[in-house]
Amino acid sequence: MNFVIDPTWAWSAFQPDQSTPWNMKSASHLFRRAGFGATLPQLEEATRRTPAEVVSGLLDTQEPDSFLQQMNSLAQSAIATGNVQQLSAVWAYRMLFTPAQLQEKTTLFWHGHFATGADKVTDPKLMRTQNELLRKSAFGDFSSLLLEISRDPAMLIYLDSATNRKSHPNENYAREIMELFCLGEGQYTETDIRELARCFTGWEIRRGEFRFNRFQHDSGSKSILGQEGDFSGEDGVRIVLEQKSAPEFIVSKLVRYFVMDEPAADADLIAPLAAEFRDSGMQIRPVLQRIFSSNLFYSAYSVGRKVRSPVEMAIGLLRCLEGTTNTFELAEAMQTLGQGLLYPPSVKGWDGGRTWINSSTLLSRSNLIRALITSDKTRFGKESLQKYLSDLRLTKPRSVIDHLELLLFAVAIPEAAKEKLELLMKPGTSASLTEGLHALCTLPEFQLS
Amino acid sequence: MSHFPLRLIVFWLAAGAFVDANSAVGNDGVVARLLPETTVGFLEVPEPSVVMARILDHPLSTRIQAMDVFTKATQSKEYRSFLTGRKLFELQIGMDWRPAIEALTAGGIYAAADGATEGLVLLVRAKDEAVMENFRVKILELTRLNGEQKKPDDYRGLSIYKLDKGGAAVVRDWLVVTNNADLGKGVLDRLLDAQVNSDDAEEPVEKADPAGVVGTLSANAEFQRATQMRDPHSQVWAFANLKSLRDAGKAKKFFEGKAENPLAELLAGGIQSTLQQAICVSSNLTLTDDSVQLRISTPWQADWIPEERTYFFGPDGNGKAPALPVVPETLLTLATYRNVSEMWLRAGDLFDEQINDKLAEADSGLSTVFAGRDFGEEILGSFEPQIGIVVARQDFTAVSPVPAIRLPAFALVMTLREPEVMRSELRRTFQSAIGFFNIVGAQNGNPQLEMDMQKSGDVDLITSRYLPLKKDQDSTSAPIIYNFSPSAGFSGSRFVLSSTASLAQQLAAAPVAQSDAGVNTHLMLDAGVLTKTLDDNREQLISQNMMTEGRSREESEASIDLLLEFIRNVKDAGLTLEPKDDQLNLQLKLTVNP
Repeated sequence: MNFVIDPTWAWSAFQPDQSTPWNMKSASHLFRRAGFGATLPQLEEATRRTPAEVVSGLLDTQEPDSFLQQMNSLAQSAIATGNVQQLSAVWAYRMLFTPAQLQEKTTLFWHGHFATGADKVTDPKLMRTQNELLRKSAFGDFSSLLLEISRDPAMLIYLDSATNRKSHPNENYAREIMELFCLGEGQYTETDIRELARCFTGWEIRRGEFRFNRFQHDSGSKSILGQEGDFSGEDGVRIVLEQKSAPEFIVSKLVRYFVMDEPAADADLIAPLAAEFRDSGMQIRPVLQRIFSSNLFYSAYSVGRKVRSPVEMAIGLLRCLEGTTNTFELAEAMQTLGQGLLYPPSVKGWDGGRTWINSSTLLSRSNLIRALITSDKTRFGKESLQKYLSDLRLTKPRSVIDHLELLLFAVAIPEAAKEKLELLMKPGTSASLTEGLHALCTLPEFQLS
Repeated sequence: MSHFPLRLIVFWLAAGAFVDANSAVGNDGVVARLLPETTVGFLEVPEPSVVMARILDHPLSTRIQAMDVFTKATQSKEYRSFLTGRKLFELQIGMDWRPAIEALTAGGIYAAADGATEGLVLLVRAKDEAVMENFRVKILELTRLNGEQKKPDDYRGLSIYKLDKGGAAVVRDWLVVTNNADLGKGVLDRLLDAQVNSDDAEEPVEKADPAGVVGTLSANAEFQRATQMRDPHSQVWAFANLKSLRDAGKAKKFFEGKAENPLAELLAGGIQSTLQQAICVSSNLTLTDDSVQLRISTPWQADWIPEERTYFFGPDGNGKAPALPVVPETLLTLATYRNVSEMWLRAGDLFDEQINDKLAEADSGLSTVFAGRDFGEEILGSFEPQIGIVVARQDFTAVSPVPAIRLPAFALVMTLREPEVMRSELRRTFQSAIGFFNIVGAQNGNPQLEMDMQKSGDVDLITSRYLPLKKDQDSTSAPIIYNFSPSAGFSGSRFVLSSTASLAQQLAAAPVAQSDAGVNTHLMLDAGVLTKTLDDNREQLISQNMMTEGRSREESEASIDLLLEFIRNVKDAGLTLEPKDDQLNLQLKLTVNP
């Protein structure tokens, strides 16, 4: 494959043609990346519209008030128990049921980007506040999001930055905002870190709330990234955002998350999108709209070029088959596989890509799928798997396999594998269907998105 | 589908067996003379029709059937499939299911487990031979229609229908089903021989039984003892031969071992000692219009209880539960006799080394808390051995903040042996404990407890309450901690340690209820208050149900509302443990609203 991609072609609006048509398969790819997956009726409905219309629909979908009330009630219930694990289950529930799946997928992106772990921030209320901030800002203004996250109690507690005195500036947050949140390595110096840390002096967390302690703020002159002045914390955030590398860094991560793990997008490919991001005043929505409407997104550079994360695998499987299950167990299983919601491994978030797959995780993935589809709490369309497939008039093994391939697979299942699966499902019993689905989900092709 | 008719029969018979039993015992001891002496477990429902009537004709059944959720359930595919099966049965048998079952089981349903063969046998006696024969023929027709019919084996002129490792046979008005051929043959031999030995072949088996009951359950000494504990009014009776189980080495750990933890010892240590000596257990289930009562009895003697467990039933088994103060909105009361001080001091004989190490550690720590006084001897020993626990629903109407999870208040009620000495000691310790909580709470950023003292007549209260954080002040979904306002109350020799000031005040001042004389332990749950408590937390229950079941809110609401609706039909539930007349009785009673 030629990895030199023409940026102009890449970010031009996708025009379906014979070689890359807009059909159920490409719609399935869109829903898998811009969400967790789609059911057959959703795919059919999508193909009756243009790709651009579907993308706008994904970006515009709002969670209805009744749903928001339910999610609020679930979150309050989790907070009342004081157990953050419950909040993790609430999020898994939301991912399963939300009509706004792009918003949820993007919230997960920001959670990985501004990684904050509940293993350290044990207060569910603080974790929920941050999670709501990420959701509210998912498609919004990155500058505002960065400023708010800089004062977010959960983030500052996670980075041991709940106290920051002028006599001893805490450099943790100053380092992470530049290295992990905005600029990337090599775009700043140690002096920049020390000076930026001085800007954040006086920023404290007391009883779970942000407080500016003016007596502990270093109001002296600072020199950060080439600018000088008696900067405040807000100024510090602004200066970091003004760097040329900031939009490039964010857009690179968005492209990697939504488009392709490998090859890594080079600077030339990122440049037009980064410019658009900067010109829009760091608005996230136009970038996403451009990504999901681009030639690159529907091309061979993107389709099947990502490894499914545990969340994408488990939530995707259930959503595509209208599945529901015990979300406590689901959240726990995803955590066992290394992607606990609200439990990122470190401030760097999840590495993603090939790191999701190794000999140990492959077995664990298989076990998770088996546990999911054999759990007595798991229902498909409120029915058993057998009844669900039968209601879809999928009675023959080959039709079941074709159906699942369309919904769940980014790349084609080899014919030999299909024949073996057909044999496995031939009895048509509940057990054979379960075994068949499990076998399907352990295929190497299923691990790709 | 191919085994459908057979499953149908088993379903109906099993359903009957669970619901009730004239006796081995019913039927004038006939059944006991059909079963082997090595029978270790036996259950009888002498009059299944009475049990069916109690359940199906009860007003509660009507109320349940009138519920929306029931109507919805009857529209499910599973229920429609069940109705189809029932209709098929009715068509085949030529009558409605209920009179059919009543006629088929008119002589009772009996089940037994045999220790020698490790087999199970089910005996069903019909109204008469014609009814049973008609049933046999119709079932055979059904199995033939389903292509399941196999040629029966012959045993002494009887047709034996093979079922896995056992089989089924009809002998006159009896149906015998077993999973063990040897056990089945024994029962059939006794049924057949009883008639052969009779002078009159038409004479009913009851009278045909020869004088000898040798080798049958009737001759079993443990069974005979158990029948003495049978309640003539019960509709289901069961027996278990503990001696045989012990001799066979079953549940060795339970019959020979110690309790594995102090709580289990406190709750059931004396029962374990009793079961280690008793030869049998007898269970009676009695259904009335307004209650379901299960009484489990074993032989009992005070001297069976080893010295280290005298704390459980008291000297000579005379320890009695206390009468407890009565307060409004009481959800649950537990009154029991347990000499905890004695148990604490005898821990070395009751528990293993690991537990004793932990108890010694706790003893040392607690003795420090109580200013160097010996915790087991001087502190626990300063209380009478009667213990009361009261749980009551909290009223949050005039409270702020209101916690999201609304827990009931709970309190320990005890009697001081020397109130004038212990009051100040306990008060000081309580103050120290609150101070300790405040230090730990401050370290964790939790609100602080503010203390107060109140005196009204003979009632002394030392209360505390959490001072709400600014952000929680007007919250109606505040943290769980706001359920608590730890307090202690004194009134005469009464001592109350409560999770809330309100309950402490009420319990310290309230008059006591009538005592359940002679009872060692008494537990009572008020279902009306339970419903209100669950209703207080309905939103929480729905949320948990949504996530554990992966349901939509509508589905979870229906599920929780069904639970609440069901509990609304229950009045109360009670449990008593009482050694009386050489018997130890454990009685569970559920009362329903009329």
